[in-house]
Amino acid sequence: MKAANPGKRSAVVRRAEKNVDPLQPAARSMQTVERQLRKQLSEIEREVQRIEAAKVVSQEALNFKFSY
Amino acid sequence: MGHIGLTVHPFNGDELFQALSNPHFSPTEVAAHDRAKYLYNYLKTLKTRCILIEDPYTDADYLDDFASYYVRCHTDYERRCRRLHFFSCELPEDWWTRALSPNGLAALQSAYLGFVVARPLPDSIIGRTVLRTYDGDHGRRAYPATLKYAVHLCGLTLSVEETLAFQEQDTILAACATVALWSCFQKTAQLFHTAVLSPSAITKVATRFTHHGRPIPSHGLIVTEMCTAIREVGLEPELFEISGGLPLASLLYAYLRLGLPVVLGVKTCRPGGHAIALAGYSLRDSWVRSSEIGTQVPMRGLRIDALYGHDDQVGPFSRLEIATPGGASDTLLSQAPIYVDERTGTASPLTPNVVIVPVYHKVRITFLDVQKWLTGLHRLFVVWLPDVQLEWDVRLCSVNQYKQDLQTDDWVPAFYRDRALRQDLPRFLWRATLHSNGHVGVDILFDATGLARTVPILSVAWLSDPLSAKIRDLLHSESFAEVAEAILTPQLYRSLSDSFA
Repeated sequence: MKAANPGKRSAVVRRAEKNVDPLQPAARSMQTVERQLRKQLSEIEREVQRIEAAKVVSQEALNFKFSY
Repeated sequence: MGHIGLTVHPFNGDELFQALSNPHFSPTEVAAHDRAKYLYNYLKTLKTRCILIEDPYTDADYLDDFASYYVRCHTDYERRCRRLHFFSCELPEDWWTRALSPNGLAALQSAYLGFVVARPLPDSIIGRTVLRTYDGDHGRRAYPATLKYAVHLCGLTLSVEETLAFQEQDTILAACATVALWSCFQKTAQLFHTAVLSPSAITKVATRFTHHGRPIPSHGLIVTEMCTAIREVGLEPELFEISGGLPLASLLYAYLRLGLPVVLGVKTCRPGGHAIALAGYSLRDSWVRSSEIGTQVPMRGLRIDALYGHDDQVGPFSRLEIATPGGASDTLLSQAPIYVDERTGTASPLTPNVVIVPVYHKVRITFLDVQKWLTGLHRLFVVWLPDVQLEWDVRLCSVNQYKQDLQTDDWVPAFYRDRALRQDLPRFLWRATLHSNGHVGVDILFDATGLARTVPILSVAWLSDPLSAKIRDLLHSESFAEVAEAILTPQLYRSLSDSFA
């Protein structure tokens, strides 16, 4: 496990302390952004398929009895 | 001609247990009754000072149950009940005379905490219970699935502003599933003008088609039977299986925000499942966990640390803490004695199994549809805001609720408010708002009555200029179009691109 470092603050905290608009986009090129998103494509597709599968309710759940 | 007795008693355990007792259930037995003990503590927290006993009282739900079953028992059960009213002040001897004046009635109303119907039965003595909720604790506690109840007391009209009726199961005509539905139908009747059935009527309609044994005495309902009962009152059951890994808190929040009560089915340490009617949640100012099971999209459920529900084994608005043990689903913890393991003395967890939401038939888009659409969309924001804590507020709302919120939410800019207030919208909407540290990036409206495969976006309000400029450039980049379609779906990609036109 990573040792805690009380002196080190997260980027989120540093931005909040500086009162920076949190929705100010990071300085990065469009090419970098596109490349990162391309890499995530298969992960997103898997997540979407998992959500689609979660819509199906099993027979076991349909027959689940509330008895007390 | 009969006479209604009105007697005033100081509030304490002995008086309460005496008032709840009947010839079939002694005050000593009441004092050992878990729900009665919970009510005593609940009323103490509400700072109850006195009890006004109205005797006799005819309760419509109990009367229906009585006519369906108890009247044909050999033992002589009473047809009428007793109603206990609670006040946060002491009532003077001439309270009745004073109450007949407008000022006196207003004073009585300000101290009125609600009532409990004491049923003349053995063991299942807590009938219809309408009590104030705990205070909001500066906005932390929210009880959206509540309504105003008018209370008529010998010609005086009192009210309980925001509550949801509770009763314990009688184990004959109603088990937990029936009374959970009964509580839910109280609120759906207000929202959608649907029927409110008595517990015995719910059990009968639920078991009309699928039940293979005798339905009464009731030994509980299965999920399919609960769905049948929901259809019988003119609603549709939206059903989710939680054990498959869904973001429980965000899912519940999304429906509760509309004011819809939700039935939560849980597994406990005891055999068989248990149904609880949820009416509210505890929403903290910051996240109480870093992620939710079943989603990579950070949603408002991350700030919810507890749920409030009518657990008929415990009492009204009982607290269920959300614990995330790292398994396939969240678990809930209740400090109620019934869930405490006798051997270890610790609370044994409740494992959510199913969620049943009684929705209006026109609400066809589900929480899972919106979660799916946000899955790809959220990545577009994260890639530009890698170190920023983003949070989606996803909720079902009515058009009136949306337009009221536009006028009260302080983050809504005038240009957006004025345009949206005059927008022609469907009755039900899914709304997804991206927040970060008090700032709002985008507010998206989906038509909840639309077709899921068309991704029915109604409007996209971009509320952060620097962010929207980057997203616009990305979506308008020809080299990225194919990937964007794959990430967002072609329909969502088109809608978002058009939103910049």
